[in-house]
Amino acid sequence: MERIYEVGLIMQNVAYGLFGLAGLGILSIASAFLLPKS
Amino acid sequence: MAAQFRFHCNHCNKENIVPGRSAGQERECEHCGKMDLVPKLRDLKPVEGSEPSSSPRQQHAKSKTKSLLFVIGFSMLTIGLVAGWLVYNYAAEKVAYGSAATASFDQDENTIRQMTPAQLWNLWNVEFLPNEKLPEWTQAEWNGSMKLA
Repeated sequence: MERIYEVGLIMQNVAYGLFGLAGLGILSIASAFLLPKS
Repeated sequence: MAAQFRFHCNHCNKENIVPGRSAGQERECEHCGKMDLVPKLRDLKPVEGSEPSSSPRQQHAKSKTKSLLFVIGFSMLTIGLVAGWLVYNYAAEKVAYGSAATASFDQDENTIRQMTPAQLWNLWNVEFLPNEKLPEWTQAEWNGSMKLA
């Protein structure tokens, strides 16, 4: 049972990492719009 | 060279060649000299051989860098949100207070809450002091470890 709990804690951090990925995606889209016109 | 457009004067009906920027503005007729309102761009006929009227659209031409950034960003955003949501829910279920995974912790807590002070004291000595040292643990060492001396 403690093992499952620890897996849950690790997965929580993995989820935060994935949300961070989404944040980077937002930054990427924003930079695509903010790039100067060529 | 800017795109040129034809328009006919409302007074003498002769043809004028005007640049696109004078569309919708007053302009002096080249033939009769009277002021006349040039129609909006959509109502003007472009002069053949001049720049096509769709040239402003080329400013919005697709940039490879931008579309690449957009596609990568969009996929990162989508994967991040969807996978993050799923994994977060999975994790929340595992670490939730009162779930199956924490049942043993809850049992431990209930056990401790139901203990008498003497039982707690025993638990402290058995669980939290270095077990291998217990046999030769002297009163002085004990007092020292508890800063009682």
